[in-house]
Amino acid sequence: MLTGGFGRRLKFGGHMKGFTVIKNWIRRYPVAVVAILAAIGMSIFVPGFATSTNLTAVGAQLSYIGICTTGLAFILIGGGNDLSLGTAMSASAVISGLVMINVGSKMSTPLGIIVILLMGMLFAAINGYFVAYLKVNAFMMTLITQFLFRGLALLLTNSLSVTGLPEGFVMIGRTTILGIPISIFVMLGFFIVGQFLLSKTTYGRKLFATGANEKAAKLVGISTSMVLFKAYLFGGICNAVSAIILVGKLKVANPTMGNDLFLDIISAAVIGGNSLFGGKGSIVGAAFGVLLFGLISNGLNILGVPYQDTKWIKGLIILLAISMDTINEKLSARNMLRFATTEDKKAHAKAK
Amino acid sequence: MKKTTMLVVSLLCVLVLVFTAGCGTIDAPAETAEEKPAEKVESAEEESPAAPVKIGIAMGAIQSTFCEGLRDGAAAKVKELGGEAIVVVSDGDATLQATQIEDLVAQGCQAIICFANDTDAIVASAQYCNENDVLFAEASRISTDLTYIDLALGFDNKQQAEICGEAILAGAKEVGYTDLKCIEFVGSLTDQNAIERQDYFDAFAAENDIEVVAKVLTEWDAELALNRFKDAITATGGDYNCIYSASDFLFTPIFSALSETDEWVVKGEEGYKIITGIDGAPDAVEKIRAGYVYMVANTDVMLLGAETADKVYDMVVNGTRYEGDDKLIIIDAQTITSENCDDPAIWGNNY
Repeated sequence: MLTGGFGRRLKFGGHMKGFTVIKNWIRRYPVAVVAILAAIGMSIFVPGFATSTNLTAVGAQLSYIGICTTGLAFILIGGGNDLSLGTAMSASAVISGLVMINVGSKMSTPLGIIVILLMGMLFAAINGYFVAYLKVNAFMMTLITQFLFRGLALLLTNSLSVTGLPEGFVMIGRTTILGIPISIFVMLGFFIVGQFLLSKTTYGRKLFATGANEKAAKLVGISTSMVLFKAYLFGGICNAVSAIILVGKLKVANPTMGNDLFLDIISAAVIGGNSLFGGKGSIVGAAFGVLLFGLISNGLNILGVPYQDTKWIKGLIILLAISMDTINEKLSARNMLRFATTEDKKAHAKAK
Repeated sequence: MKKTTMLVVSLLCVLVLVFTAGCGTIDAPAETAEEKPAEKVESAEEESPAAPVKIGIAMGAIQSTFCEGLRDGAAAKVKELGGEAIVVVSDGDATLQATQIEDLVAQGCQAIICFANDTDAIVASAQYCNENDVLFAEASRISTDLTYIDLALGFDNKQQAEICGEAILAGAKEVGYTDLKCIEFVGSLTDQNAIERQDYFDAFAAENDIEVVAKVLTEWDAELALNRFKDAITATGGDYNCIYSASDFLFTPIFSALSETDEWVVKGEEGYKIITGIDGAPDAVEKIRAGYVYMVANTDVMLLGAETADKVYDMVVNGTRYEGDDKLIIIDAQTITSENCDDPAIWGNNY
């Protein structure tokens, strides 16, 4: 039985032209348009931007942020949040570093990788358990763990960087393939896997349902706590991999190295269309959000904008992104109400 | 409608970016940057002869007059020599500093002068600069591993710490203190300077019967220093009579805490604390002049910045290189007391 809305779509959607596909894609990922325009604009107007040196450096800089953003996107879509990302990254790195320098054998690199992944998942599991099962407010819980992890990293290292790491471990984040840092390929891999999990698996649908309306999701039999907990675990894995890349960049495990990354990560996620209110988002959007935010940061630096100005400019952009998200959320709620009313009217008219 | 709103706001973001591009403060040519055949940044000789030498100044933080003086001394010297100084500040973030240095290399800087957040982590950035034929120099905060560092200028931390120790002994004789109990202010432990100033002072104190009754770990943060100093006063029951500070930028929280207990007094008054520190910033000189602070070890930071910039400029233009021990240049410190605090040569009187 064709309702008015569905019939209208059938009338024009029967022949899906390429233009319509592109138009729909642009509507779905407006940040992609902005990012591409920004990249083109910067290539033309910003001297030094479109050089292989700069592009390689920007790609490497974005890689650990992009991987973290993928993990955070999962958590946001599921209705959670994680302010402790950066400090968990630092803590995982220094614990792994301390293990490696104390073991000091050929097995130290593989052991270090295992330890950092386990620590990343452990920290995420702590957050996930309290938020998903005990229903502690995600903002408060992860704010608390942010301090805990930061303190742990400083305590274990006495505020010093862990140096003398095995060359093999450091090189993971510094290896290049055809001149391109391997971290960029890892980031792209996470984007692909993340988008696949979200859009092509049952888990992805359950995650969206959990984030959109947890009560409704429970009513249809979704184990929302487990779904959100798994999202946190995935975020923990992303965090740990980012930590490995960052340690390669700095060649030391610094106890504060990730502490100030959270704002960049959540900005990229929100700019990319991942809602702070849950139930909405994509990894494709997050990827373009990472690209756009990275382009803006790189552009400001290359243009020589004074560092005092970069702060407020970035803040303004984040404010715009969050405003977009909030406006979008309010409009969605209003449109749903309007649609239901229209459907009722049409159903009523047909019945007559 | 909602999608249109999103698109409009997104386009506004782009307009902000393009507007910022138009208002960029670098005097850079407007033509499109061309792809270079090699991955390394082109050297100065291959650019237009009229292009000024670009030197990046990567400051770890600007949280004190010392840091400001270093930045200003270096930037002014580069400008005086006809070069272009690009200053970036990372606010204590080692990761951000590494990113900023990569961006400076991408901007075409031929050399970087770095005041590092973390002297261990910065080695990776020095290596990156090496790989891209960009010179890397350190000012004040010097790494223990100089393999990738082309030049390092700093002050003699051992000399400074011992000067402060000797000043405490001299001050004790003047005011008649026999049993010396010292509260020690320690800087950030990722700063090699702070570590050395602590270690050398501790060694001097041990040899000269100065008892360190409490250590205040400040992380180079004034607020942290204030809170922890108050805790140290409580823990010691106020039983101390001298203070050693790894940097005189911490004199402000010291003044705040002592003022609350009416112990911020001049020499000769009851409760006087023999206060010594390192740097010689204008505020510290003023406090010496007023009689509250006994002595500071003067580190002419503007001279340090200028000397570093001068040598780096010479390295870029004339190809001068330093090898082995010659890479490390140490500048001596002097004392500032009430007797010479009005000397116009002191940088704290000129900044």
